[in-house]
Amino acid sequence: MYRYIVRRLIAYVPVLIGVSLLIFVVLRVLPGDVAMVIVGQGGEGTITENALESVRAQLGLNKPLPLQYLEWLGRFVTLDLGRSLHNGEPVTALIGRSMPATMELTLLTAVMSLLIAVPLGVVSAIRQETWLDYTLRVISIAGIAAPNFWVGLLLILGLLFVFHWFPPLGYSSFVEDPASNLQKLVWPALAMGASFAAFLSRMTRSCVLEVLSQDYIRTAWSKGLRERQVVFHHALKNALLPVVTLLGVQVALLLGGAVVMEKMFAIPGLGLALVDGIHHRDYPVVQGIIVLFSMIVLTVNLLVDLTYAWLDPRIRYL
Amino acid sequence: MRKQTSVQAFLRTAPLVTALILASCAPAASQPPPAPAAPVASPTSSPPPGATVVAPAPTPSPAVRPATPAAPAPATTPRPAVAAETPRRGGVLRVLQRADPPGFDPRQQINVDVWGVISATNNAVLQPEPGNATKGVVGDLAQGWEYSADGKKLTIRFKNGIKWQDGTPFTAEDARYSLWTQGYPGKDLRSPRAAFFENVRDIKAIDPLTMEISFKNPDPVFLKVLADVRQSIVPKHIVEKAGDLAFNRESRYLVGTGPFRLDDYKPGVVLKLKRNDSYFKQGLPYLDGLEYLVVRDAATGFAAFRAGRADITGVGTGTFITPAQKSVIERDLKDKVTVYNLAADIFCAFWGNTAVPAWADKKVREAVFLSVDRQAALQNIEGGLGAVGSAFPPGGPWAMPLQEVSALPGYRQPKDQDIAQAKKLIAESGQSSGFQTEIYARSQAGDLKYAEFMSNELGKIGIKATVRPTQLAAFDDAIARKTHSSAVACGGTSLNDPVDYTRYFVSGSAQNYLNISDKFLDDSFGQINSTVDQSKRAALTQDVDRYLMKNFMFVPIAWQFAPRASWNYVRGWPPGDGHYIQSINNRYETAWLAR
Repeated sequence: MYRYIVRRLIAYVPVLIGVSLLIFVVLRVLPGDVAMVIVGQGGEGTITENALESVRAQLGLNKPLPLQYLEWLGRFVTLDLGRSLHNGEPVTALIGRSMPATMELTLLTAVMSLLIAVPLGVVSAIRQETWLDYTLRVISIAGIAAPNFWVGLLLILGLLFVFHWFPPLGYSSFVEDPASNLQKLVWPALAMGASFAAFLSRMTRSCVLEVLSQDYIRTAWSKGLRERQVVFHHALKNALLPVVTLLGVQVALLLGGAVVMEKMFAIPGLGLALVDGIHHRDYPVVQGIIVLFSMIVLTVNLLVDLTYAWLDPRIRYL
Repeated sequence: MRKQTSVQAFLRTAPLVTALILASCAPAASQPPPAPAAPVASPTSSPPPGATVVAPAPTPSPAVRPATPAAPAPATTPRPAVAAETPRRGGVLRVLQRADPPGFDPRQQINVDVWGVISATNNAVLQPEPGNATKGVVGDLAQGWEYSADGKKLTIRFKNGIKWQDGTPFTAEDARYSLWTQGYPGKDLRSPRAAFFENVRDIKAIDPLTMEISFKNPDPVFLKVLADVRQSIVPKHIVEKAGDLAFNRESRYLVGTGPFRLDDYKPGVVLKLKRNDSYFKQGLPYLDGLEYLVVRDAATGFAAFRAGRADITGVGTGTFITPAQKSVIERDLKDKVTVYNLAADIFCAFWGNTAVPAWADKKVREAVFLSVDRQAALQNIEGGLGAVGSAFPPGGPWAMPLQEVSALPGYRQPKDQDIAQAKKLIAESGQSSGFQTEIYARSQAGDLKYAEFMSNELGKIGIKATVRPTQLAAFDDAIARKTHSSAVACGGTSLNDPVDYTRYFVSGSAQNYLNISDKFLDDSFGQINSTVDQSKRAALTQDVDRYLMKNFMFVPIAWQFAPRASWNYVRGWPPGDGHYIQSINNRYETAWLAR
C-alpha cells in the first residue's frame, strides 16, 4: 500500500509540470497584454509605448517565453510562486489568505450535500415506487437542473423579500469566530450544494437499489433481520462505493462552482482570486492557483482510491 | 416492506400533483426582485472640475447634463425637505466597494477602487470648488497660489500646521516628491498619468510651506490636475522606505493627511477607516469612521444596500444604479432612499477603424451618423437619464451649443428622413449590398448594450454588424494594435478638459479608436493644450467639436450619468452641485448620519 501511495505521489510531478506548462502557454496566447491592463488602468490611464515598455521591463515580460517559464519553474521548486502583477502581493500569501475560505466552503458543501443526499437516496430506494420516492426524485431532478448561481440568487432574494433579512457577506475565520463563520458560509454552501446533493441522492438511490437486489441481501431478509439492519449494516457500505468515487470527481466541480458563489456572497476565496487573475492577465496568480487546484484534485482522487480500499477489503493496491 | 403503486394510479393523479407544485412556485403577488445590476459603461474616469488658470470668476456649469436643450434632470426621488440641521457627530458610514484596491499609491494606480479609498485618507494640493465642481478649484492642502506673469511658474503656499497621520509634519517637500515621481516616475515606478506632466519642467520646494512648479510652456490645465484625487499627496518619509505603495496594502503604509485613517483591512471583505482626530480642517469629519464593504457582484451589492447593510452605493462601473434598480427604489423605498443623478462626463460612442475602406468613406460614416436614434438609446438603455450631445460634455464650455447640436443631421426626430437619407448615402457609396463589420465591445453590460443597439441601428441601413464581446485586456490590445473593425466604447475623461480627449484623436495614440492621422486635429489639440486663455481654448475646442461632427468622424451616442443612491439619513453628501467627481473628492468629511 505504501509503495502504491509513493508511486501516486511521484506521478504528481509530471502532471503538475504539464498543467503549469499548459496554463503558461494558454495565458500567453490569450489576446490581451498585461502591460496594457496595468498602464491602461481600466481605460483611465493614458497608454504610451514608453509606459508599456517600462512595465514590461519591470515585470520581466520582455524576456523570451521559455526563459520566463523556466524561471517560474525554478522558483516553484522552492515554493516561491512569484508576485501578483496586479498588486505585487506574493502569490503564496494570496493563496494562504484565500484558501481557507474556499476549502471551508467546498468542505461544508460536500458535508451538507452528503448529509442530505445519502438519507434521501436511501429512503427513496427503500420506498421505491411510492409517493415519497416520486416526490424525492422530482425534487432531485429539479435540483440537478437548476444552476447554482440561480439558486444562490433566489436564496438571497427569497431571504430579502420573504424574511426581510439579508445574509451576512464576506468571511470570518472559523477559529476567530465560529458562529459568524458558519452564518456566512451556510448560505453559499446551501446554494452550491443543492445540485450536488440532488445528483448524489440519485446516485445513492441507484446504488442502494442495485445492492438491495443482491443475493446476500435476500438472504438477510430471509433470516428475518430488520430493515434497518439490512440497509445500514449490510447494504449501505457496498452501495456507497460508487458514491465515494463520485464525490472525489465532483470535488473538482465544486471548486469551480465556488467561483460563482464567492462572487455572489462576497467571499474572498481562491475562485474569485482566479477570476481576477484571468481578467488582469495576472500570470503568476493564475498559474499558482491552477497548479494548486491540480494538486487538490490529485490528492482527493488518491484519498478516494484509498477510501475504496478501506470500504471494500477485496481491493488491494500493490 | 415496500409498497407498490400502480402506474395507472400515478398517471391519474400526476397532473393534479404537478398543478399543485406549479401553483406553489408561482411568483408571489408582492414585489418582483430587483433586476441584476447592469454595470453602467466602463471606465469611471470622473472629470475633476474645471479651473481657471488666472483666477477670473468661474461661470457655473449646470448641475446635471440636460438631454437636448432641456431642463436639468432632477434626482429621481427627491429627498424630503428638512429644516437646516446641525450635523451630528458619530456613526460609521458604510459604502459599497466593488473590489479591493490593488494598492494604496495614487501616483501609480488610478482606478476607482483605489481613489475611492484614498480620497478619504489623503488630501491633494487643491480640490474641486463646492458648487462648481467642473470649473472651480479651492485649496485643500494649499492656502493660496499664483501664476507668474508669463504663466510659466506656479507658486503654491501650503497651510501651516498640517500633520501626517503618524504625527510627522507635512511639508512642501512631500508635495514636490509626490508630484515629481508621478510625472517622472523613473524605471521603478509606473505612472498612468505621467502624460499630464509633460509640460512640467521642474518642481521645487522653496521652503517648508512653499512649492514652485515651472512649466515649459504656459500651462492651461494644471490647477485641475492638482485638484484631482488621483494627485493625492503621499508622505515622502513613508514611501521612500516602503519603496512602492502600489505593491503594498499593509496598513502601516497608508498614511495620509486626510479626515480618516486606516483602522482595519480584511482583503475581499471590508476596509475600515476611523476618524483622524488631528485632521487640519477644524471640526471635521463628523463621522467616527467609514467602512468600505467589498461586494463584487452588482446584484448582491444592490440587495445589500436595499437591506440596509450599506448606506451609500459605490463608485465605478458595476455599482451605478441602473434604471431597473431606480424603479425598485421609487416603488419600495421612495421616502427612504434618494438617487442622485450625478453628471459624470461619461460618453458612449461608436468608432469605425478608418483603416477599413468602408469607414474611410465619408458617405458611409455620414450614413451611420444619420441612422442612429440617440434618443431611443438614451431611453432604452439609460431609462431616459443622461444627455444627447456631441464630442464634448454637453452644456459645458467645450462643446458646441446644444441648439447647434440638435440642429445637426442625425439628431432630429422622428428618424424617418434621416434613415432614408442614410440609405441613399450607402447606395451612393457603392455599398448598397451592405458590408459586414464586427463591433468590438468590452464584456461589460453597459458597453455591450450600446454595441447591440448599434448592431441594430446599422442593420436598418443594410450594414451587417455582429457584436464581439471582448475582455478588457483583449479589447485594449485590439484597439492599440488597430485590429478592430469597429468598436463601441463608453469612457469618461479624467479632467473636464479637452486635454484629456487628446488621446482619442491625435495621431499615434494607443487609444485612437478611429486610427486616424488628421493634421487639423493634431494641430488643434496642440494649440488647445498650450493656450492659457480659457475662452480661446473653449473656442478652439468648439471648432474641433464642429469638425468632428461635420466630418462624422465618430458617432457619439449618449452621455451618461453616474447615479448613486444613499439612504436619507445620510446628510452632508453629496456636496455641491452634484457632479460625480465631487461626490468622491469630498472625502466624506462633511457627511453625517441623522439617526
